[in-house]
Amino acid sequence: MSDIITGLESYVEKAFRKAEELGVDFIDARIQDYRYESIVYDNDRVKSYSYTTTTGVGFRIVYKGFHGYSSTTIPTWEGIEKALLTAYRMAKALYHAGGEPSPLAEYPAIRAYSRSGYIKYPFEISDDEKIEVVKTLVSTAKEVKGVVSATARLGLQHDKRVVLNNEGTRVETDVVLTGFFVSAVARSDKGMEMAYDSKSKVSGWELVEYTDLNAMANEIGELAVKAAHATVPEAGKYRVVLHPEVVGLLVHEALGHASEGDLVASDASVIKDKLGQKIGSDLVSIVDDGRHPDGYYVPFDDEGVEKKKTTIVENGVLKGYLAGRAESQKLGIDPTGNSRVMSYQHPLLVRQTNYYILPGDHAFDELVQEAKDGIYVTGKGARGGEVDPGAGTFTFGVGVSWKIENGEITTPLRGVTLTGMILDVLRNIEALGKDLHVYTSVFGGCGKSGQLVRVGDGGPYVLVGEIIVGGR
Amino acid sequence: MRLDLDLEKLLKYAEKMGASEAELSASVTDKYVFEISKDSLERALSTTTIGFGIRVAIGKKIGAAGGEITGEEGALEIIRHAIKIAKSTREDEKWPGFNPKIGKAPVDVPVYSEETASLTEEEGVRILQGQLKLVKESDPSITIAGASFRVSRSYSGFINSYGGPLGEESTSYSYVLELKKKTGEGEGTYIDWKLGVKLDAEGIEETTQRAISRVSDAVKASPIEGFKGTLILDNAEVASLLRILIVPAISADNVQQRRSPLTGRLGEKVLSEKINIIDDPFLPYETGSAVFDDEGHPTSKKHVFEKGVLATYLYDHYTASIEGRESTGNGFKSSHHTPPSPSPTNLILESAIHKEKLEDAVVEVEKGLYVVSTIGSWLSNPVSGQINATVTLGYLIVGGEIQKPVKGVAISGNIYEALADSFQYTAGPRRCLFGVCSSSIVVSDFTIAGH
Repeated sequence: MSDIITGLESYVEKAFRKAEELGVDFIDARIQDYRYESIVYDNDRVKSYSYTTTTGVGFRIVYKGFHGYSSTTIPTWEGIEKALLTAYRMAKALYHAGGEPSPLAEYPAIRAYSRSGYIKYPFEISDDEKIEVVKTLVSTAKEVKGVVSATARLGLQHDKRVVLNNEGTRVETDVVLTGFFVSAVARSDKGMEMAYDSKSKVSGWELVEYTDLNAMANEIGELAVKAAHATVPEAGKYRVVLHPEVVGLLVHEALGHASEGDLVASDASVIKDKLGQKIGSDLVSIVDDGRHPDGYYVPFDDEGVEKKKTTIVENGVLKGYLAGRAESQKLGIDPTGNSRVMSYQHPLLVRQTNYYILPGDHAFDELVQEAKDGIYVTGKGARGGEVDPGAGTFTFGVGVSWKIENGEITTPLRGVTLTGMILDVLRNIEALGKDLHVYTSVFGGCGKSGQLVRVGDGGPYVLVGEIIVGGR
Repeated sequence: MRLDLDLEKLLKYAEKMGASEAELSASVTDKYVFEISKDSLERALSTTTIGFGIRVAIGKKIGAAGGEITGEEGALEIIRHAIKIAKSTREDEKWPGFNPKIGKAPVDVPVYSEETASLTEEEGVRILQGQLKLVKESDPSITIAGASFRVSRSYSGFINSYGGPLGEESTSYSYVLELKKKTGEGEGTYIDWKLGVKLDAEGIEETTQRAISRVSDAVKASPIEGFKGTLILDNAEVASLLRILIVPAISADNVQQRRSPLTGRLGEKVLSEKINIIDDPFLPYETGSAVFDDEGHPTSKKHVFEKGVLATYLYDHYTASIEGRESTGNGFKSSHHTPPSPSPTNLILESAIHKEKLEDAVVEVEKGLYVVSTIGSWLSNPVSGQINATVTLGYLIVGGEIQKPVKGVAISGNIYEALADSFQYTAGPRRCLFGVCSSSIVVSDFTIAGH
C-alpha cells in the first residue's frame, strides 16, 4: 500500500468520530491513489508521452437521509477536517431545503483486500520497450497499401482504492490494467474511412508479449482499406448477425443503463415496474459480473459492498436491477455492489461492472446461414453508443460491416448505425452463438453524469431478426 | 482566487533538472453541485482542486506529466516525472520548441462574472428548488427524473521558457434537467440544459419552460415510416454536429496527418456560398472565449469558411511551424499534461439567408422533420463526414404545418452535403453549446430512416 494512502487513512478514524459527534447518520471515505501512463505514436513520431496521478480522499456524509460530498488532496488533519465539515454543510443544506430523504439499506461491515493479478508490472517496463510497441503498430498498419494515416496508443493504469465507513468496513482493492490501440485511415475514390482495434486486459505487460502486434496492425490496415472502398447500405430494417463487441455495446447501452437502480428509482427507466415480466426472447439471459477474467475487475464497489454476479434477465424474464445501498432501500432489493465513482472526488452513482449476454448453442456459420439475407455487424471502428433509458431508444455507430447474401458473408459496408427500441431488440433475438467474449478498455469506459468508469461488456455472436440500420 | 504555486520558481526547477525548455500550467477550481433525483433534492458536493501539468523538452525529446496536487511538493514530483520521460523517450525531429510569442490579445473579453462567483450554496440550492416548483406548478404529472445545478470558479496560470506568467480568472455554471411524463397515451422524457459564464436566471427558467412543453410532446411521439424530405435541425443539435464533424476536420493536426476530409481543400468552395463559419474568441461571457490559448499565444478572430470557401485551418504552435507560419492562437489542451491540439474558441455558423422566426421556416416545408432532440450524434464519423443520430423528439411537418411528434427514427446523411447543395438557410435564435454556436438549419433532401 502506498504511503499516500497510509497518510490519508491515519486521519479517517478521527474524522469518523468527529462526524458522529456532529450527529450524522453515516459517513464513509474513499481514498484513492491512481496512476496512468499514456504513449501516443502518430504516423512518424511520439506525439505524446505523459503520466498523470490523482491522490486524495472523498467523504460522503448522510445527514437525516441527505447526502453531502466533499474531498481533499491535503494529507493533514486541517485538510481532512475541512472536507468533512464541507460535506456535513452540504448535507445539512439539502435537509433544510426539504425533499425526500434517501437513507441507506443495511449492509454488514466487512474487511477485505483484493488485488488483480499480473506477471510483469507494466510501469517497470523500460520506456524504450513501451515506445517500440506503438511504433510497431503504426509502421505495420502504414505498410498496407491505401492507408494514409495511422495512430497507436499504449495505456497503463494502476488504481488503488480503500473504502472505509463508520460501521467498521474497510475494503482495499488494487487493479492493474494494460492496453493498446491501433487505428488506420484509408482513402479511396469513395472517400476516407477509419478502422481500429484495441486490446485491454486486467493484467500486466504479458498482454503485450502474448499478442501478435504485427498481425493486429496489418488486419486493421487492410480493414480500413476495405472500408474506404465499401458502400453505405440503404437505410431500413435488416436481419443482422452481431459480433460480440457489438453485442457488448448493445447490451451495455440498451439494457444495462435501464437496469441501473438510480434510474429505475427516479422513474427514468423503461424497465421500471417490469420485474418478473417477460422483456425479451426466451433465449436471453443477461448478467452483471464484477469478476469476469476478460472484463474489468470490480470485486467490491466504492461503498465496500461485495460485487457478486447479478442476474438481470433469465430466459427473457426481468429478474433484477443494479443497486447501491440508497437505491436498495428505495427499491426494496439487496445491494448488488454497483455503487461506483470515477475518483475520490465524485459522488456515488449506480454503474455497471461487466455486463454480458450468456451464450447459446449456435456456431457462427449457422447464425449467418439462418440470417440468410442481412448484415454481419462488426465492432472494429465502432464509435460507441448512446441510449435514452427512459424512452427506451438507442443508437450505435458500429464498425466496418458485411453484407449477408443467401447465407454467406459477401461485400463490406461502411457507415452502418443501429437504432431502435431496447425491448424490441431483446424480443427479436432469434439465436445465440456458443462462445462468450467479454471486453474492457484502458482507454475509455462508460460515461454517466460526467463520470467515466471502466467497465466490461460482451456476449456471444447474436442473430437479431429485425433491427433498424441507418445508412444512406 | 489565488494559485498558491510559484510558476516561475517551478520553471527554474525544471530547467535546473535538465529541461532545455519547459511549459507549465496550473489551475485552482472551487465548485459546488446540487442534484435532484425524482423531484427531490438528494445530493450535494463541494470541492476545491488544484491541477498542475508540465511539458518539458530536452533537445527534441518531450515528456509530459500532470495531476491533482496539494502544493509545491506535488508539483516538484510531477516535474521530476516529466524529466524522466523526456530523458528516455525518442526525438521528435520536427519539434519547433515551445511557443515563443507569449501574450494576451488586446481585447477586453469578460470570462468572469462576479454574479456567478459570489452565488452562495444557499442561493444555488434555491435556484434549483425554484425550477422544481416551476415544473410542479405547470404540470404536476411531470417528474424531474434528474436535475443538477453546478457553479464553478477557477484561476488558471501559464508560463513557459519564453514568457509569462499569464493568468486568468473565470466562472461557469451549468443547469441540466431531465423531465419525464406519463399519461394514458404513453411515456416521454426530455433532457435540456443551459450553461454559461454569467448566471442567466431568465435563461434557466426558459430552459425549464421549454423542457415542460417538449416532454408533453414526447409522450405523444411515435416512430414513423422513413422518407426523404426537408430536415430542420434545432440550434443545439446543429452545434452538437458541428462540434463532432467540423471541429476535428478543421484541425491542422488532422489535416497534416491526412485524417481530415478537408486535407488539400484550402481555397475550395466546400460549403454553400450562403455559409460563413467564424472562430471568435472575443464573445463576451461565452464558454469558449479567451485572450490567450493554452500555449500562451494571443487568440484571434478569423473566418474558417467564408462564403462556403475553406479559408483556413486552425493551428497550434507545432502544426503552424510545420507549415512555416504563425499559430492562429488555437492551441488548447484537454488537461494540464496533454499536448495542445488545434481547437476552436467559439465556432459560429452564420448564413447569408436567415429567418428570424423558426415558424417562418416550418410553413415553407412540404414534407419534413423538425428535430429538437437526438441521442448518438457524437457517433457521427469525422473522417467521412457521415451524420448519424437517433431522434428522441422531432415533429413531422406536412404542408407547412406540424402534424405530430416523432421519435425512434434515425437521421442519416453527410455533413458536407447537408451544408452544401442541400443547405437552404438558418432560422430562429442562435444557441451556443461548449463553444459552438448556431441557429437552426434547414436542409433539403435528407434521409429519415423510419420504422
